[in-house]
Amino acid sequence: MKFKKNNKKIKILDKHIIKVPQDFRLPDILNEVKKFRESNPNLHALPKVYLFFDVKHINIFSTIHYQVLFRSLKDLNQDFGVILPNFIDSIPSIKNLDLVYADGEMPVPESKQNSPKQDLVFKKGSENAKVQLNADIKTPQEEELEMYKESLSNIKQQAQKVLPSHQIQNRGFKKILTICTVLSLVGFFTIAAFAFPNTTLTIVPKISSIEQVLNIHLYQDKPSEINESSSLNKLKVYNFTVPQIQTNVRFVSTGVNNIGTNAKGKVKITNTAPKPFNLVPFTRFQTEDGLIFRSQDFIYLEAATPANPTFQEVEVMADAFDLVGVGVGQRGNLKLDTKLTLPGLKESSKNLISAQTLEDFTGGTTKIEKFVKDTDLVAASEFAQKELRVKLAGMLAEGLDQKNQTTKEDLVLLESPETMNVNNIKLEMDNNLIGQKLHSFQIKVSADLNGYAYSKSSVENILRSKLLSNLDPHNTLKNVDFKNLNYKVFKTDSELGTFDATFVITGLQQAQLSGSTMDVQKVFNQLKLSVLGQPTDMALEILKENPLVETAEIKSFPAWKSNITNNINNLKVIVNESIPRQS
Amino acid sequence: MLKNLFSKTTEIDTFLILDFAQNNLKMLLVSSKYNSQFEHFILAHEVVKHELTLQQILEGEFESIRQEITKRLTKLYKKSAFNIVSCICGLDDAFFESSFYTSSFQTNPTESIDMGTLQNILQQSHSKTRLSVMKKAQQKFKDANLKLIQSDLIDIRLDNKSVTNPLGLKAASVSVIFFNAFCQEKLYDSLTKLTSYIGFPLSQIYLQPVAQSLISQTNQKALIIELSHSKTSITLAKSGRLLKSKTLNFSTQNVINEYANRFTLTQDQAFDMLINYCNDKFEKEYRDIRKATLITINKLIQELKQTIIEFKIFDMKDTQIYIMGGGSYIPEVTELLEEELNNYGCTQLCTIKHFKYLSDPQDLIKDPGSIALLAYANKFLSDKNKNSESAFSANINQILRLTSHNEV
Repeated sequence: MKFKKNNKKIKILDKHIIKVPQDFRLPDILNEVKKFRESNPNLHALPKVYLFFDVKHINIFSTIHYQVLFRSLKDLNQDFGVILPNFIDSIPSIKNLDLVYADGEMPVPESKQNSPKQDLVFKKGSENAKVQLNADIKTPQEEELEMYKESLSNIKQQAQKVLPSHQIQNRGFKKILTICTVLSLVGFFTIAAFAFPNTTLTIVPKISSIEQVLNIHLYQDKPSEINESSSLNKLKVYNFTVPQIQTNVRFVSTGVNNIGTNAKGKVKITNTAPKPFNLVPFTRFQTEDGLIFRSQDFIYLEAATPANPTFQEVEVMADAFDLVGVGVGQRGNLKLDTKLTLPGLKESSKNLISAQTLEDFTGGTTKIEKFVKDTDLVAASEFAQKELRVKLAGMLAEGLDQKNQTTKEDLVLLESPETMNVNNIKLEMDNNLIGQKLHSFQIKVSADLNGYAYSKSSVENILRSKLLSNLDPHNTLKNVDFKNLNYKVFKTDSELGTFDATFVITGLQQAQLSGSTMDVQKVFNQLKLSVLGQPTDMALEILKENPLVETAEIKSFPAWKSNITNNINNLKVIVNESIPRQS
Repeated sequence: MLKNLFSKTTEIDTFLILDFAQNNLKMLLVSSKYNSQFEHFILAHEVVKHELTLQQILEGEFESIRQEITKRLTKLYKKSAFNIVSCICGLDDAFFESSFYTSSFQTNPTESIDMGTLQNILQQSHSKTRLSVMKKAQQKFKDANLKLIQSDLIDIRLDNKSVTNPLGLKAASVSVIFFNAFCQEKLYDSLTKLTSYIGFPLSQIYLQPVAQSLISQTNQKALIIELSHSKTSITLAKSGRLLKSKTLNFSTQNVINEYANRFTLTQDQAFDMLINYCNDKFEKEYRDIRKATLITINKLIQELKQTIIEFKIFDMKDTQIYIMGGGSYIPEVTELLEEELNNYGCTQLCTIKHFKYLSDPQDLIKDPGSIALLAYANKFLSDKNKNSESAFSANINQILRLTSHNEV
């Protein structure tokens, strides 16, 4: 195998090359690099490692993945290069890339030969190139090492001839002893592996969500007589009042006055028509954007020809509003040499007379002021009442919290438009607001709030028992999602102070494989039989497809065994009932 | 004025897509004509910065932004004449409240479900689910005046088995899952005002997670993570349909703040440093910056792990991860996602190739932060082409007799 870098042949040792298959992810590459480093005795002078991508791999063809690879190897202080086969057409432009090509010629144009960091183009070839890594090429260091080894063996041979024989016997005895020990250990482990092979299946029982919808009859003094089977569950509610709450609402005034100033400046009018023109005061001059400027006095334009045009300088001033009624203000500060047309002229004369600014226009400012309109007061009072209703639930809940702290109860607000009321609304605002130049003004709202509350623990008991009574067979309730409890009041009797509401509660149930009435041993035996003698991957799939299993893990002894044991007595099932924490 | 200017008959017909985010407004002009692969060409892309507060947006104080949009469109028009046929607006999830809601009903297992029963079930559950989300939205926005901007039927289950058409089937229980989204009426009015102010009536509003869901075209689940300058949004989708979504209060700003504190920099300097770091230009000691980045991104990954548990994804083997937004160009995001989430596939950076109805021959979309805008355009073009993904909801809406897919 030959390698080229910048169109020059280079040598790379096999042991410095890591081949990266297509299914290798970043952690796999890093593992291989770590193995390479561990196999190298000299940690202070680690050689450069070359990653050989023989297919279009994401870690080299996605810039972001290459950056991750580069940074991860940099963390290890590992210098690296990349080898690509010659059939790969091009790669994205990547900085800091030490690129080497394997087994082919580089048809890179001459001009690009000295710039390896540019996008490179390669000749197309076979996509199935069988790449044989270089076995015959030796570096000078390797050749030197071989010579050294050869001379060392010569020295040893000479020494054996010279040394006394008992030393040789001693050394031989030690050698035999070491071999015996190693062999007996290997033998012991081999026998243990064949005598006691076993597999442990750790399974997490099936987890599924469960949801229940139930109606609850809420009563204040005594429950209504049962006339509907839907409200068999009963719960006491408590009426409470939060008196004289106060809140401030700010309302933005809607009246607008344009108090900006209009820009002005000089323009040069050019006439090429063969007749004179008299332009009346307030003649319009229009920009491309539709802004209008007007002259202030009479203007007389002398007759001219296209070859000898006549000119007139006049001062014009911007209108307050543009064609769509938006204030002009600062936009009227035109730049020098802005072209203007005269829209008031007849079509035939429009092309003969034109104007152009002679200077930068100045004086245009955009400024608006807001004032309170009479309709604002009506809108503001409606807005304030709506705001109060929006805040109603929050304020009632706050009042209830304070009550709970003193009475040590666990009452929760029953949130429904039918059960929350606002009484005695009073609005206060400053006098004579109409016409005042205010961006916004404030309204003080005060009212009495009234609502109903229920005991949190009582509701939770009802909901939990409902879920428990509706679990799937051989399941246990693992979690109840009280945080996302939903309910809706669908019937109100204000005279009796009773309500009917539909509650929706969700939870998680898990198959119960311990302590249930199910014949667990039978289930375990079925599980064992289904995986007996199967390859581990296949067995894992079989386990996961079982309706009682959420996930599973398989551990075998000896670790190198890729199949599950054939002996059912050596299979062990462990149940792990932990489930991911639900929010 | 603009309407007249841009509506001559000789120009190219285009769609204008607006993405109103918290600190900028992105615009995309897409040709209404498509090539043989049903790809519409992107003709222009503009980003208009603004400093409007949420209150100003709600109040419709758009004068400065209107002027800027007019200026940009005029400039583009002078380069190459066009006519805007439809104007579409995308909404960041900070501006709306959405929720999935399941309703269950008991039915007679001996009788098959007919159109009348189904209609009753759907109408009842739709009304229940709307009320439930509306209540949440009222609490979030502290506002009673809301507008329903999206209402989709996600799934119908008979005895806990998913079916596409329940008519004629028998079951003891029927569960219906709806997705509803509300925004403040004030916001809807002000967006309509903005588009009509510049001359084009608003034809459609699209929500970020709904639009992004279309990236998942296969049966594999897709976890789409958008790491932007103000938040991180996570969307779980399958076969183009939205399953779950959540917003995390984590953004690239967290990384910038970490740099600013650690290296005593101003916000602008820290921002530049992050951009350079993503481009392999290291202003400070490389290892210090990498350490700071890894520490910060790790916090995001921990929150993501929590979200994955909430989404009830127990095995990432069948889930493909897509990342988008400016933060997706931080290599450490990809690195930690692949390492920590035990993902068996590769994390993919969202690019134009993931949006099957769009083509960018001029390479205009270079900013990774603009990818979300492509999602809105892609969703609009997908609905326009009436492909199979929208057929299901169209049928159901017919049964429900709802006004349309979106009530805008």
